[in-house]
Amino acid sequence: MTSLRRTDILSLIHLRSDGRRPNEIRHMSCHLGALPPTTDCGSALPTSGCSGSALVSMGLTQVLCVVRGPCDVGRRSEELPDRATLEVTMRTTPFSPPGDRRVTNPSTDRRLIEQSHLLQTALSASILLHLFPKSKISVAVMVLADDGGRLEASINAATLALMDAGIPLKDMVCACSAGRWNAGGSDEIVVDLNRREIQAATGSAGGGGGAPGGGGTSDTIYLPVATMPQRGTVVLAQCESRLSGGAEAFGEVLEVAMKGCQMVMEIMAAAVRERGAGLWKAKEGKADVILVD
Amino acid sequence: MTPPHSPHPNEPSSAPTLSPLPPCVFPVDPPPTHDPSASPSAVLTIDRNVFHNLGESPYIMFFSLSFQQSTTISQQRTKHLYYPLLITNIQSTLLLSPACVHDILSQTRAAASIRAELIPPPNNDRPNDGQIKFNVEVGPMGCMGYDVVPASSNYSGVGDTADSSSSGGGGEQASYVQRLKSNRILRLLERTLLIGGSMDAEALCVQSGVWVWRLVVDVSLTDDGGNAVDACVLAVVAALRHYRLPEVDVGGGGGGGEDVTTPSSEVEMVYRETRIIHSDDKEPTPLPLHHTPLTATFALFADEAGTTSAVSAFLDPTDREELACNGILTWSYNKYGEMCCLDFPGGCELSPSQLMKSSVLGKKRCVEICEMLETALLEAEAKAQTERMERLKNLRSLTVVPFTDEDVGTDGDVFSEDVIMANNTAETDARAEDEEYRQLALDYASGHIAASVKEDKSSMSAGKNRQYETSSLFHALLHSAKSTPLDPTLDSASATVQVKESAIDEVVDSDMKTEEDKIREIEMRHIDVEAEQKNVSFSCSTNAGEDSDEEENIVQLQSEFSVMPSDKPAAKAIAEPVANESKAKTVAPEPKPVKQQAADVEEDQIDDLVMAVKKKKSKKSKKK
Repeated sequence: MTSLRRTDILSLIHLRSDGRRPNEIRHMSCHLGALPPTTDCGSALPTSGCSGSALVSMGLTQVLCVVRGPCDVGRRSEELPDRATLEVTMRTTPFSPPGDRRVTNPSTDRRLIEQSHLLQTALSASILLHLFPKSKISVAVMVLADDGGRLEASINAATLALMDAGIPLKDMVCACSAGRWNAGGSDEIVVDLNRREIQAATGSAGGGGGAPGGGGTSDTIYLPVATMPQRGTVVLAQCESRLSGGAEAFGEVLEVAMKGCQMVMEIMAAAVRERGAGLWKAKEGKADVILVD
Repeated sequence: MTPPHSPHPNEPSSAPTLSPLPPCVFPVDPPPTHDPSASPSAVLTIDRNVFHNLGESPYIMFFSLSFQQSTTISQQRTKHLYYPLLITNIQSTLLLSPACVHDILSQTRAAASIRAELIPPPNNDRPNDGQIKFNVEVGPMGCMGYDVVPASSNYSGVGDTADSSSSGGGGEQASYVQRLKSNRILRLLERTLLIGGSMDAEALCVQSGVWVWRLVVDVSLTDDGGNAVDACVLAVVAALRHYRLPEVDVGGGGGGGEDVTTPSSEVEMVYRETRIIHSDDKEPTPLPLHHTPLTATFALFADEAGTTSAVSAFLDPTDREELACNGILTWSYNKYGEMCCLDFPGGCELSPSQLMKSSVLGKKRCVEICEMLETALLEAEAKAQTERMERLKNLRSLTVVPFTDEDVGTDGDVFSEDVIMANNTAETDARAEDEEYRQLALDYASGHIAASVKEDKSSMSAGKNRQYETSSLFHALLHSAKSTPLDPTLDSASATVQVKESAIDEVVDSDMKTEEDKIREIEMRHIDVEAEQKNVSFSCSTNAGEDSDEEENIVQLQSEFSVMPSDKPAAKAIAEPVANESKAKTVAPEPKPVKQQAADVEEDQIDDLVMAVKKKKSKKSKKK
């Protein structure tokens, strides 16, 4: 990979490397019910057993999420007496990372474990777990293609899969990332970073222990954020860059990220409506979708 | 909601009924204490002053707590919201740096220790990057409920925790929680220190493409009383600040230490003799930390009834609070108030304004701990210095006193180790090291008597590599005499040049009347004897390069004399007298004027040596 200069990120015509403007998110497509809950062959083949599924792609990053539950907890020791247990696993496929990244073992990769845990806590803020005591909701996320932002895509996919499974949520959890560079003296806050931009922002080429490129002098921020847009609250935020200005700069980027989440939510809501309309139509013959503001 | 309770001595009103136990011994059992509403045992009305209320609401929060420290919360956390922090026992270092941080954050203790290894660069496409490896271990020492689990670390090889217990039955829950905990600590460390920019992997490079440092940081949680993250990060940062990297001597010169030789005859990539100089000999350098980030962790409690969006945040939660909380939030700042990292894994909703407010508090707290850390580090540094001085005094007193054979042996060993070289490798050494070399050679040559002026003696190296003593000495002598900036290649073939030079020296020295010259003469004769012994081994190799050397000979000699005056004595005589003398005659006149200057320089350089040599001379006479 050729070395990436930060000035390449925002070219002179103010477009990013993939042709987006700084305030545009990647093309996002959501497909609910990607994995049918039961197979066609009846009992000959086992059902996929999932209550809901969703396939989300943000740009080139593609994530499949499958939700099973609420179901019985296998082990009594894992039961919680008053609420459901939320079990999240996140795995990458061997073909998902780009070619130059080292192959990591998905079951023991520390980043994946961390991101599974983040997913779990982010979702547990939204799922009404109290409605299902002593049961288990399991969310399995598979990253099919990783072009940056796999955590955000996973959160979005998990939310959609939960909605597809009919599990009650307080609000949709939408995730988006935002970042900031000092490109040529001017700060640019951009939304929904892809892999190249993340690498430029954090300076590491996909490995722990890499030296940050510009992290010392300029304020580069990479901030993945998950919010509940309708309630306006932040559910998850991670930032690992050194900011000299204290948290004010961080606050701006956070705002931009929240706006990005808002955009994501609109897309997701449209997908949910479409799915609902499709199901209703299959049942009733026709469906009218009326938006109530 | 009010349970039957017995009045607690401290708190007259609602007190929980749990029996008092030291907090750090509690097992980690998520289910029962996870939800405070499950078994409410107290209703505690908390004044607004006590709570740091992040929400907009001005109400007084009603909060039900089911653990024992509710009383302590209301009483002790009036102003500060955290327990006082004590950093003790930052111990002095040799090469290891245990920094044991006793955070009395409700008796949470973490210990971090650092060691450094020299390795070839692990990434082929990043030849300048060192490696920093964190091993986080959360084990049964920390809490009764934890199992013995291998540490999670951030480099494969020592992979993540792979418990056998997790594949089994009931242990899975505990180990999962535990794994998450160590994972979280690890990731936070990694993000704050590595990606956040305080440690630079490139700064750990010793020699580009050849040697880099690998820092192994072992963190273990010795007591878990809550807020393990903060304690671990504090321990690691303290250890990193306190640790001193030893000096590395690349390419065979100076003090002896570990011997890292890979003899190879490759042309370009040659692993030279690289030594880690013991910290007694050369002052070790601190790690290149750009800044010291510290973390502040909050436990977030959302409103139970869900009616308000008010969220309470406890700074520096105890273990009970951690278990009962809805979410955790970690800010990381350094002492200049720069934000380094934010880790908010969620669990509790926060409005952005609440987030920013918490950042202010986190910043304040981090700055305070930074100051505490600085003072503790200064103390530890002073202590380390005094200890080191003591140690060095004891060391020096041993070697300075007697010029016995044993010490000779020691010194000779030292010298010889310094000198071990592969026959076919070439170095261009720093001039200073060459000088020291020559001084060492001088000592050795003049009767194995220690001139204890040099700094880079290594006590560790005593006894090592005895078998290389004689031959390597020879090499050393050759090498020191030989090496000049103009001549990068040093091979045995060129040893002949040394030989010839020494012959010339001998011729010329007779003219000089300084003491050093006399000494040199004596040395050279002495060394002649030795050298002759070695001649056989070198004849074959020398023959090969002889022709070329002869051409180089003159050039070298001239450069030798003009540049490195003091290595004349180090040049040792070896047979081939015929060729030598003929050459010597031709070259002899030239160096003479240069020699004068050289001698002067020598005199200045070897003052102490004179003293030593005087004593040596007496011994020499005895020996001979």
